[in-house]
Amino acid sequence: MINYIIKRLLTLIPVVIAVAIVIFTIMYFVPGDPAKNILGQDATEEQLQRERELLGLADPYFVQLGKFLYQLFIKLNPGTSWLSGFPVMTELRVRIPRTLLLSFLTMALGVAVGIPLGVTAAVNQNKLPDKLCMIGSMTFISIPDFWLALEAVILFGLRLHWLPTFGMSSWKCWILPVVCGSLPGIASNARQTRSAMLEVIRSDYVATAKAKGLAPGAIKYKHALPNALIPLITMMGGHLARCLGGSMILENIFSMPGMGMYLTTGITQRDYPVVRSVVVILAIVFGVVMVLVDIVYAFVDPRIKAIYENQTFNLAFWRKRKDA
Amino acid sequence: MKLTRRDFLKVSLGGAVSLSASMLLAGCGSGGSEKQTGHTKIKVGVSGDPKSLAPYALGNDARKMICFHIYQAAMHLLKAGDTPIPAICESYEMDMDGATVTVKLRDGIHDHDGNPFTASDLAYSYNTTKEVANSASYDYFTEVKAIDEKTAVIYYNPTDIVKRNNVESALAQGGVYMFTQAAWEASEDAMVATPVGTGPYRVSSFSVGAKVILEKVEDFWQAEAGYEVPRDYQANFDEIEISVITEVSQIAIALETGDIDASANVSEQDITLFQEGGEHADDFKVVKNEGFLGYFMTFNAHTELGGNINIRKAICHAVDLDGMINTLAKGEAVRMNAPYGTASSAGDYDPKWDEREYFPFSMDTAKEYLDKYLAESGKKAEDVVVKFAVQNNANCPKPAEILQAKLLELGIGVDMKVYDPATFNTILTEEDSYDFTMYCMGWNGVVNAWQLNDSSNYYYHFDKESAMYQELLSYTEPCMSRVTWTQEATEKLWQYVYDNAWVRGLYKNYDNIVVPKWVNEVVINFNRNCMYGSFVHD
Amino acid sequence: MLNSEKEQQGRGKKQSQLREVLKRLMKNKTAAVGMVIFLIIALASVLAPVLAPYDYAQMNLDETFQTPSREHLLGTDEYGRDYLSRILYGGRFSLGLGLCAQLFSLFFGVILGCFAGYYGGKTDNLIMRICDVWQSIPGILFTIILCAALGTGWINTVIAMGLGGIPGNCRMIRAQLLSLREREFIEAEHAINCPSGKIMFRHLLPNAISPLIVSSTMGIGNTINGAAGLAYLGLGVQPPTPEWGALISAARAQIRYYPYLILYPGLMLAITILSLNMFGDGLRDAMDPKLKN
Repeated sequence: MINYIIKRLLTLIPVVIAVAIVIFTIMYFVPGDPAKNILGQDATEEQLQRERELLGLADPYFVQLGKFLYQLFIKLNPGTSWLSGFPVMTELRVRIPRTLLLSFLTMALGVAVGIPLGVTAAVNQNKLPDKLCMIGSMTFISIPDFWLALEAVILFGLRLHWLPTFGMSSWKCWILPVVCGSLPGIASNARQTRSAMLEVIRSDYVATAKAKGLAPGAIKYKHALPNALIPLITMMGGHLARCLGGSMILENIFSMPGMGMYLTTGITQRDYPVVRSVVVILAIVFGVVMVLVDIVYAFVDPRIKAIYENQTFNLAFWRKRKDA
Repeated sequence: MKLTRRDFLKVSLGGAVSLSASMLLAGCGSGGSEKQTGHTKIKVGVSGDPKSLAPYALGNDARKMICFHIYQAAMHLLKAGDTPIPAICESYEMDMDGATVTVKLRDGIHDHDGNPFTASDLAYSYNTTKEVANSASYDYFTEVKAIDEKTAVIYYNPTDIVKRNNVESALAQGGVYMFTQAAWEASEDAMVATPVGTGPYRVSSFSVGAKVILEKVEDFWQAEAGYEVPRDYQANFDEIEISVITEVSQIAIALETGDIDASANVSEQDITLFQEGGEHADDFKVVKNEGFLGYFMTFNAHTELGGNINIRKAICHAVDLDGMINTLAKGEAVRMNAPYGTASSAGDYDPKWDEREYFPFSMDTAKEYLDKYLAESGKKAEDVVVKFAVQNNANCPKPAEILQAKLLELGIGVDMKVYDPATFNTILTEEDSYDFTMYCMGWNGVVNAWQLNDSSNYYYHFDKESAMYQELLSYTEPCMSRVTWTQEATEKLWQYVYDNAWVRGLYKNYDNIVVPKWVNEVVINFNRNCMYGSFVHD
Repeated sequence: MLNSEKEQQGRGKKQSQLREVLKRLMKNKTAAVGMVIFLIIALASVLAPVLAPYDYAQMNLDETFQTPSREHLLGTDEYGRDYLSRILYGGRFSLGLGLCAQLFSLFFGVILGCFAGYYGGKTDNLIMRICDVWQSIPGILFTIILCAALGTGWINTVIAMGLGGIPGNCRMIRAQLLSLREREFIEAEHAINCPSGKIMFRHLLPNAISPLIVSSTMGIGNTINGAAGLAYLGLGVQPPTPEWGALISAARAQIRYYPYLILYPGLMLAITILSLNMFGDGLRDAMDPKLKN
């Protein structure tokens, strides 16, 4: 098992390096001159040239790439923001915890509310709770999140004065963003759990358990749910990706400066060091979470644990079969 | 009837619920309506992230506002176009032949950390800023040397010292912020997050991207040493808390819930809440401040359409300025009929230019000019497609959309592309990417705008070898130098630009500053920034 | 003529399979309702030039922010443009965006996935690593980066959103192919020397495509939602193009004063996604043989 984990973490390294190369190349070809952006309209050509040399933009592609990879991976120095002069590491040290906290809270709420909702819906299939759950979930998946967030701010912050509307000064400030962000997650978790549970409920082993006379709660949570969890866990990995990336809209609306807006302004203002480093860090976070997801599979499904330990099967294939 | 245990439980539960509900509703967030006396703190909301508080950084309004509170320059301006008054320096003397400016410092200057400030620090500030910033703004001087404790010499470029008003504005407006060598060397991050200046406020906390708290400097040197402190350097609050609110509609909401007291970034839509007759007119008042950024249109002489005077005039006459101002600015904006807007630092703006309507809105006139073009080129209206490049900054696309709709009515095609500022800067230099542009810029005098600078904004549009460019140059050159400048020369340049429709000004928005009722006077500095610290209040 | 007989048999099997799926779909009331609603919206969008009372870019600066009235059934926006026309045309741009982006990622995802799943070995490994790298950058951020690189505008948005979905489709098809290629009918194809291309696209693909169709159908909704997010940042479709996401994003400044500006396109968006999801759910149930009852 440990061997498996180590092997997975090791394969992460070439992937992260590849991501660094890809993002570097994309930004290299993005139109727009960072030097002009930094110096402003009035700069002369020589100043622009000098600035480009200072920024390292005057070198040919491979030299720039080499320097970048060396700085990032060997010296572990993501560089300084071209626009603010702030070291990227300093900003990230403050911003990453905010984004991660927001994403994890959102996901946690999505799971804590979504799964029981889905289980209830599956168990009461086609009756009222099921219909309500389905309609509710489909509604929340369809609404753009910033609309929902703005309406919530107006209702709960402005009209009712229950919650603060922006910033991070107290724990109350996190309630609105987390709830707004988790609603689509709750919705899709509920749907996914429901369909996975439905599949499982009709299976033979559940019928056997019922025939044996087991209590309904035990059937639901000890036999049915663990089997239904596998596709759900896969989906949550994707969810995290969406949370990390999509948090930017919530961060903007609630003025919680995190990685999302940092990256977005970096892209629109051609702040290359910021974009490159943040994307690489996101790739690392995402990769590690995927490995964690695979480990969770092992705990949930003993068959998968056996596979890891035997390593005679192509795991990815097996995993995909489970949720195809 | 006996009260059963159940009844008792119901009643107490109901009571507890309603009590807590009413407490919740009444409790939180009622700051806006409290009546306080003796305010010592003001909470400000800004929409842009200041990012860096270093003295040399270029930045947005929020950054400039904060920097004006914490730093000072060699001289000071109360209003743009005025003569500079003393700040760090008591006086300055120009030597045109030697291309030097000698400054004399005042006494008793020290920074927030207590380090004494001498002429060598002044020289250090200038030289370090020039080196670190690598910006065109600091190219006018080569270096600064300190002669003794209280005197320093700035070595100007000979071409720059003769430029009109360059010396005055460089010492004060576009001036270098002063800091001591000791503080700079002690700072770990080149003063990006830990600035140490000489101004009336200091930074007590800086939360990246979220909040900046400024606190009053108790031993502000200018007051201590007995000098007169100009109006916009008075420190009337003990603390200024600046919150960054990125979503514009949240700023109005924050004002209403009392999370912030004042802001200059409230959107035009939301401002009605705070004006007369609005929901919150009792707790706030709105002060109009002429904005900094105005909308301009410029034409590209390289392309066939941009280089054709009839097309240019047609487009200029299709601008429905009234419609734009009524729709987008609720009828309140500063018209910039003169392409270079109002009061410039170069001081060569003549208010009478704004009294005329240079390109009155008339679809018929526009059609006339278009027909002239069609006649001489033999084309049909449908075949004419103008390329319109718009900068995506400060709502520039909005008046652009209105113009596009009007041009479409003329029967021609309009290929409008909105570029983010970074790409826009690059597009401007491409000869064929656009026929005309709309973007927003800080106001410029006629003279400043057409500076003898190869990369200047407007010169992109011309082929340096062409006769058109040489002609323009012949009008611009006399205006550039202190020595050859005359008002007539400026008028002639002005007339030439207008006759050829090379640039068309649109309008400048008013910045609406919303302040609480307990602020009696709003203080705005020469750069149109709000000096919150100097607000006069109860 | 063994080949053509087999082909005819194959086609016949596919036809009856299609008919079966349709039958099951029709029986599912939710799916049927979803399909009908979506078809109505799609039809209204296609017929926008006929149905719209005004030109969507025609401004009338004296009639801004009108509430719904007889002249303007859904009111006017901040420039006095008729909102009903903008929403009708908006349907074209939004649905078109969703559809084209999904088709784009389906097309390229399927090709990549087929090669990976069919050939296996080194090709498979290479393509999977590429997909790993591709998917390591979270979706919406990847789209933003691509939008910055490609520029704004409808077509560039389609490409940017389509590119993000390719690895997902690729993996799905590959998974299906990996399980299918061991089956006997493929062995038989090999035995008669059927060319690989034919095997891949004529025989394997039709059997493997069903989960992709379901996910693409539901993906259309996600794409339109994503476009709204892009519009929020000022990327994506540019004015005066009335794409729904752009309309919602532009209207958020007036959310307290003229809520109908955000309500109508928001409702259209929600209904479209809802109907697509209902249809997609029904489609998945219909295509899944295990739920045959």
